[in-house]
Amino acid sequence: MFKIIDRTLTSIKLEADHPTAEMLSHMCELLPRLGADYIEISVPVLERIGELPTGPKYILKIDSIEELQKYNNFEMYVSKSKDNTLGDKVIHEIQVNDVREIPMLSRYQDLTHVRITGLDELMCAEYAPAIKRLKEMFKAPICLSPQNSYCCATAIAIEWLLSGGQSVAVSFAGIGGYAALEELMMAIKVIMHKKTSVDLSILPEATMLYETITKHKISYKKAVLGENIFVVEAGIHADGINKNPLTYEPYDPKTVGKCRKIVVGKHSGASAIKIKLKEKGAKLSDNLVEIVLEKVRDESVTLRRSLTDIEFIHIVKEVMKSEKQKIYS
Amino acid sequence: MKSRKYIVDTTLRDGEQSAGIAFDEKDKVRLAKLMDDIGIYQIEAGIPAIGNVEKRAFAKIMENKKNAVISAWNRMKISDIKHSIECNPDVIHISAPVSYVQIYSKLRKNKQWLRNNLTECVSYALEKGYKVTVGFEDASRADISFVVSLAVMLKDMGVSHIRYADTVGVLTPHNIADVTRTLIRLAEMDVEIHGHNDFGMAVANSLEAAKNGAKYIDCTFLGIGERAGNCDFIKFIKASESIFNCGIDKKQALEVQKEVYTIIKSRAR
Repeated sequence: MFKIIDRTLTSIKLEADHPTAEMLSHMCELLPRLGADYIEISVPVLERIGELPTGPKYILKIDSIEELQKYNNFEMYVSKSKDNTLGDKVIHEIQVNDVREIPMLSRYQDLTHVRITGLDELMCAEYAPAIKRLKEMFKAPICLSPQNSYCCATAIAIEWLLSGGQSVAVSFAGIGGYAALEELMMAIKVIMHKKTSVDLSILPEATMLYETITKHKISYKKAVLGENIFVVEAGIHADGINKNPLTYEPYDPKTVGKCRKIVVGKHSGASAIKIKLKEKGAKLSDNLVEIVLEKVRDESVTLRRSLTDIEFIHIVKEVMKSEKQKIYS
Repeated sequence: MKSRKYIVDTTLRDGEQSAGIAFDEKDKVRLAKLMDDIGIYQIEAGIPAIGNVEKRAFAKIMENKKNAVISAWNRMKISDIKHSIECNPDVIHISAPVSYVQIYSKLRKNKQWLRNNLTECVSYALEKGYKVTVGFEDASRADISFVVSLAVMLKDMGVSHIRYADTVGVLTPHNIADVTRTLIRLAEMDVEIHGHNDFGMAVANSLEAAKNGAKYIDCTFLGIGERAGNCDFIKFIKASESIFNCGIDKKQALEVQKEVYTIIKSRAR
């Protein structure tokens, strides 16, 4: 299986009193459960946490030989130094911004552990030969940490693994501009069909912790993490999902700790209205469903959004009331 | 010289279709005008079958348009196409679900039914004098031989080009490169690529499809769309500008993105 290095904790901003040691420790506990084989931490993070939670394997990011000597009980270190005499516990991180720089990396071929970081624009070039050349150039297997300036980092990481790469360095939600850990793990599971022991149902908990640590709200439609990714309004989608969720879901929402939800609005069809009525324990004739649908669409356009359940129930009650009045008048 | 690619913007259809977003007539008309101004080749302006609010927006978009091609999206139903014809768009786009899960679970039909029904719908729109494009919904989970055979049939009928949709975003760059090349080689048709971002790969996949011959690229502003959204317009332009000419002024496009953002943020709570 692949070796996944998570660099979330070297990408977060530390303020004087935030995030707390407890928050950082909790993140150290969650990341291995999400698929990280190694957690990379910085010296300031280490000093903030104090005693690291036992269990996870750590890589310490060092800026000098003094730090290596001071914190000498780590399994691995990562450094920007290209000095091979630092020992075989050090991963040498090499920044490569341009595909044209790849041939020049041959001067580092003797380094024991190498991580290539960057290659943002790999997808703009012929990426397959570039990946092949990278793999052949070094004597030992290397780690790739693609950066995300062109929103292609996860795709590059996946192509790296598909082509035989064994190790990637990523971060939760892609913080720091890397491939996103959760996207990579879901792609390994769903697209590459690899069995993993990873429990991604804890993603909502990890997301909440991440938002607390970074003080940054994750987008409602962020792949894998977004709170709205399994909310459906469109008629054909609601109808399809009702018949078989596989029609419009790439994986079961429960896998990532979410539930699917059908909302109604401008794009709903009669079947979505019927599904919603059933959910609320009600049933209307086809004629009344059509009336409700029209009112739902009008109200949705007025509000420029989908309707809440309360707004939907209000419309249903209004339609039923008006129907009763017609009958008795 | 950079190769020319054509953006098909579907903010007003697939983007709007995502839960939580609904544009009114004014929004749609304004956004379509701005998209036209920045050089977007084709605007998928909506689904006329939704009703009068959509048709009124379409009428104004058609009245205002300068250079952009305006298309109307349709299910594989004659009744939908009739609604579109009322709007007199430049292109009638017909969506055909082609994966087994879509055909057998959603439509509860079979491949022959799909072939017959698609033929009927396409013929109807062509006979009315419209340019027709066909979208293969969930093509990335479909049997590629079936997709190619449909494409060959549609080419013979006179369909302009086909849309290959990665409806649930499960493709990777090397897969999309392969299917794009296969479709172009075997069906000898222009291909439009429609990516979704479920695994964060919509931009990379669209880029790779374009590198392998897809002429048209579907995007939405802010990447809005079902679930994790579609290929983000600005991100695609940024990623592709060193190799492709999409005929877009990026600075102006950023202004349109701001406008879309403002509209979405201003939704009534």
